[in-house]
Amino acid sequence: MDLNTETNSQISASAPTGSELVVQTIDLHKIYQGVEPVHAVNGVNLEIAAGEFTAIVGPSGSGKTTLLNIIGGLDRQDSGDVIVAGASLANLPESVLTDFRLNNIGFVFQAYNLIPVLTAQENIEFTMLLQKRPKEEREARSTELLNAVGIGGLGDKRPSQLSGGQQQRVAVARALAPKPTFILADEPTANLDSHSTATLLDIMLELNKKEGMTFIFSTHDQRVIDRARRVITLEDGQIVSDERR
Amino acid sequence: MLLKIAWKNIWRNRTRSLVLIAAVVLGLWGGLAMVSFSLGMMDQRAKDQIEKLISHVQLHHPDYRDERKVELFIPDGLQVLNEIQQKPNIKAATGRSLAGGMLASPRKSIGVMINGVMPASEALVTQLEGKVIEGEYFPEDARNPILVSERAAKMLKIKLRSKITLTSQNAEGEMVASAFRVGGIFKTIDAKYDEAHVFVQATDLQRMLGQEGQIHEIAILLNSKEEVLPVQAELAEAFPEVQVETWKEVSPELSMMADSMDQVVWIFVGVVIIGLFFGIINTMLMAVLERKEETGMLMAVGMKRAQVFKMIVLESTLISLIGVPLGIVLTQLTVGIMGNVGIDMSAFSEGLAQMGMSSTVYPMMEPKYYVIVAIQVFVVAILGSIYPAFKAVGFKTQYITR
Repeated sequence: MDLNTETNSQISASAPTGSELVVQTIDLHKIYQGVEPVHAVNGVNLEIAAGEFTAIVGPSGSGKTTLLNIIGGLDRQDSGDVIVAGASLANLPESVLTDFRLNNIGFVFQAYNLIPVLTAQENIEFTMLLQKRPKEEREARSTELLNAVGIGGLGDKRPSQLSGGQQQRVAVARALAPKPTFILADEPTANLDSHSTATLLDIMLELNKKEGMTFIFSTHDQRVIDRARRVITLEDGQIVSDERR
Repeated sequence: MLLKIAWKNIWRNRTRSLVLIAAVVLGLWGGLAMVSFSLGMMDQRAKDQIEKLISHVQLHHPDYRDERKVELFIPDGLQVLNEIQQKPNIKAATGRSLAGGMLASPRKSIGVMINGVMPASEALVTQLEGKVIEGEYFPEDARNPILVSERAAKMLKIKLRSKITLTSQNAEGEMVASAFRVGGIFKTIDAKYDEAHVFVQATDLQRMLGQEGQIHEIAILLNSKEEVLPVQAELAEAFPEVQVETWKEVSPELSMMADSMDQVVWIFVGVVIIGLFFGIINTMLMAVLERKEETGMLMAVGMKRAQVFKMIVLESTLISLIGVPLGIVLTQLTVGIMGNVGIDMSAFSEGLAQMGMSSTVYPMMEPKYYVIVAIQVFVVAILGSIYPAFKAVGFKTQYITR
């Protein structure tokens, strides 16, 4: 294992020189105003290259989810910039940002968040439908993705008829369907048992290796951390370590 | 897909959606039922007034209706009447002599409109004969018979065969009086009308007034209300020296009453619709708020706010698309059944009689009201979803990661 660990109080998490950047944050700040303002993201400089399998870790309240939300265009920073797939998200209007998310970022959430009234296959097709892809293409790709995540025979099941692990696999397939630049996963294994976690990680690693899909996780889960090839640790909104394996 | 999701969203909470659909159905039904009740009531009143006295078309001396003077009779009235009776599109026609006067019994007197009728032709034009509840409708051998209403009889404390005196003013302005004997007692559904009208034979009244062979009014019954305007035009052309008026012109209070009743009904319909509006807002808001995370997810993965808005409005639209036809069918069934059976309003018969209305109401409906109320309910259902839809598009995408 190639260990390249820095443990300064605030470091820049850089990608290897010359690699194609998928995500870049520049002096990113986010403060939640309240009785006592919380500096959730405090001057983060981060680079993630295409094909990386990165876990962002840290204790609760360290700013993982906020950082992921900003990278994913779900939230706005107070200062600094986020460049995703070569585009700065800082000044994109809401409707353009929505389109940007649709075409560039795949999301996997902790609670799966599938559309309960649609079948697994329809859930996967949903994002492609928003992209206005033709029916034949949607059907072919959703079938292919169902097989890729190992639930080929469950396309007609509704989320309530699937186990947690199966639902999260549908969520991964849904995230992959619009052919995004990378996938953001917020605590994807938090609600899964060991077996489901291992299966899901196998699937995601396989997709990472074979298709070069970039994965960025926020996680507490040691099982995910153990299999990540890069681990960025946050504390109090700052990157305190960037470990490559 | 939006339509599919909206449709499936409706059935997530089956009970709630069914309650909302029921609200739309009942709202529509309530509104239309009120309209049909009002239409039925007003139609009956109009029909009753037409059949009782006014008939469809009336002819008078051009100044008679303004001045009500006995000398303002129709020139060559009997000849005009005869010509009209010969016309094929006239169901029946009769002539009347009219005079205002006093009806006096030994104990009391009241002001009345004295209607001198031609018994045989009057029976063909109005239902006066059928309204006689005691005695006879102008028996042939009776001398100076008079029909008084049950109410007038009570007020004057008279009964069948009582002798009473009618007093009026002739064309010269002199007071004239004649004794009459109560030959029959009648009763209509209109209490005020009953108090103010008596019927004698036209010849008797003409003799009393010294106006033999003169009539003030020709009343014409047609086969349907739709023929009124063409016949009015035809008669106005044929008899330019007389005034030809429709039942609406003769009795403007009828259409005024219909208008004011219409306004009351629409206010009621408005209240129902406003109730429905807030019911829809409440239900849709509940449905939207409990899908806060899901809506956040939809927007996170690329659904535009406009699409979310459209989806919520579509849900409400679909609910009204189910509810509106059901409401119309329910109303049609109700109007179909109650229109034949009638609604017994006898508990309010006194009050209705004061307004000249029957105690049994037969609801009826005109197709345009289905369209008007259905559009109102449909629009309200859509408007009711706008606030919840705005609420939904205001959700933040980051709800999904909290």
